[in-house]
Amino acid sequence: MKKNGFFETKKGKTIAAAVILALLVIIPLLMDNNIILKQNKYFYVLLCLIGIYTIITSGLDILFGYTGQISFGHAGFFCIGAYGSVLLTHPGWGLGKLTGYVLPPILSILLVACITACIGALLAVPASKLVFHFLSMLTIAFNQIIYLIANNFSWLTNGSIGITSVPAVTILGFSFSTVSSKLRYYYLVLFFVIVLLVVKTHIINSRVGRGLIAIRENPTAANGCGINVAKYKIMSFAISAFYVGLAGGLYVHMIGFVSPDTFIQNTSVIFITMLLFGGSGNLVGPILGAAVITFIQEGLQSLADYRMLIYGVLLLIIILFQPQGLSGLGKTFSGLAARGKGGESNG
Amino acid sequence: MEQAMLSIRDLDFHYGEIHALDKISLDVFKGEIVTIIGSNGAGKTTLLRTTSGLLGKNTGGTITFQGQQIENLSPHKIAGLKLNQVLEGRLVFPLLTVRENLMMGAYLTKDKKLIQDRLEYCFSLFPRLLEREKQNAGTLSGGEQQMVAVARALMTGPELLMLDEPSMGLAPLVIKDIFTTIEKINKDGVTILLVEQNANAALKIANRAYVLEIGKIVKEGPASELANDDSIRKTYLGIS
Repeated sequence: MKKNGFFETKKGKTIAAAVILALLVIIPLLMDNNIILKQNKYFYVLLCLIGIYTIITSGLDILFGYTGQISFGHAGFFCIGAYGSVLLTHPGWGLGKLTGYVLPPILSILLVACITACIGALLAVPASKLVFHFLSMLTIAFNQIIYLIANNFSWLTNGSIGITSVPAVTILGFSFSTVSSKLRYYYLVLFFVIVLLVVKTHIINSRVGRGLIAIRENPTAANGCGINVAKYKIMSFAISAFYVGLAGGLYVHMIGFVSPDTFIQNTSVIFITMLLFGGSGNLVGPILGAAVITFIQEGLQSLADYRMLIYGVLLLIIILFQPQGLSGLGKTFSGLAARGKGGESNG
Repeated sequence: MEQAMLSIRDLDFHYGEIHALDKISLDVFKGEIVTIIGSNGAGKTTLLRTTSGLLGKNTGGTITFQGQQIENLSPHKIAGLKLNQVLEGRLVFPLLTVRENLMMGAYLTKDKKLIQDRLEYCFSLFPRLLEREKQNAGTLSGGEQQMVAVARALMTGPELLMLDEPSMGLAPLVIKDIFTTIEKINKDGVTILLVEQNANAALKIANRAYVLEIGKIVKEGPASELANDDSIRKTYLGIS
């Protein structure tokens, strides 16, 4: 039997999480005060984006990694979250234009996440009966419909021009405007990331989570064990959509601008790529995937068209040599080490 | 005559145009081992899966289990009725450990003490599984996976256990073990409905048997009688 490493024990995990969390809080603060690693403000935008993509990939992971249902339409949910929050908070559009009243952004983000979850559940009613390529087609179609609505319903969304000057998040008079301080928004995103990751862990370890995993492993056998497969698939879709909708709200109030181009089919593919790259069906994989892919995408901007080439090669390497994604690296290395020692471990 | 535990009357099932089950009627009484034998494509699996609801709605007839009509219930509801099935081809959850597989069988049971008792019972039936408790079910041998499948079904606490070809793809020695275990489960109070191609082994442990041919029941009777029936011997036992 292989001995568990310190970080596989419960205590070790708690300590590791606490240390990482402290670093995530302190380092940007030090950076902002120019104590270490002088960076331009753009760096915080990158960190915020990673946070937002982490929420999305974690949401997608609940559906794909744990329930085994593929979705190429999560940019659609992202779009609903983003446009929904704009239309509820912008004085010149949607609710503000119709009634003159607007919601505070933080409230609208949460409300829109719930609405997205409902739409996810509705989409799941037909989707729960489909598998593999049929499900892919359905989710692609969903993405396309949402994109076309955002692009063509000009009276509602200003069409392909998009909507500018989206109001900033304000909580009890405390402004999270990204114009004045990007660091504050980073902490807001970090807060949501932590809450949603904790919630995800609890869902996965609950009765519902076990049901989802059983469906991934074998839907027929799961059904035979008394699991209502259709109901759990719908739940999984709804939870997943909730995460992505919330991320959409956070995204749009950070960027301050929304246009349909962000939500094209390709965006959904990037979400799936992040998840596969990081590794699905665990907590760390989506975070790693979101971080690495965002860095590659943004960091290699200067390489222009060659960016996609590097991106493609990296992806190929991962799929061929590390099919479990980056999060499986630890296991692969410990496996190699054990083999190197002459096969002490038998598993 | 006492009330049958499971009673199927005039059951029809169609795969689209194909008439897979044609007015099937059969009874299973408490405490029995009943076997359904038949060749490939006779409709054995279809019959079991229709009974447990996994194939969707049947196209006619009634299924009564312990006095309750179940032909219109959805499969996850039927699983809660002490009627459980070991699926054909050992459908275990490959990436879950043996223990997690078994706990999945107890999904609908909330009583922790009861789950623990059943778990101990399963491990006493299959000591091999206790050794492999923390191993992923997908890494087990075929025979061990079959044990997991049977144990998982037992974790639901069934009164009637339906087994779909437990001998499929297994070595003769392993088959012998599996059948001995089935007899033991039966002695411990679980009624068994066994579907088999391996007519020889099935008829040895069964009390009664039905012979299924192209969706129809062509013969029924005590297992010992059918084992000596000339046409059965020719077709299914390979003895001329």
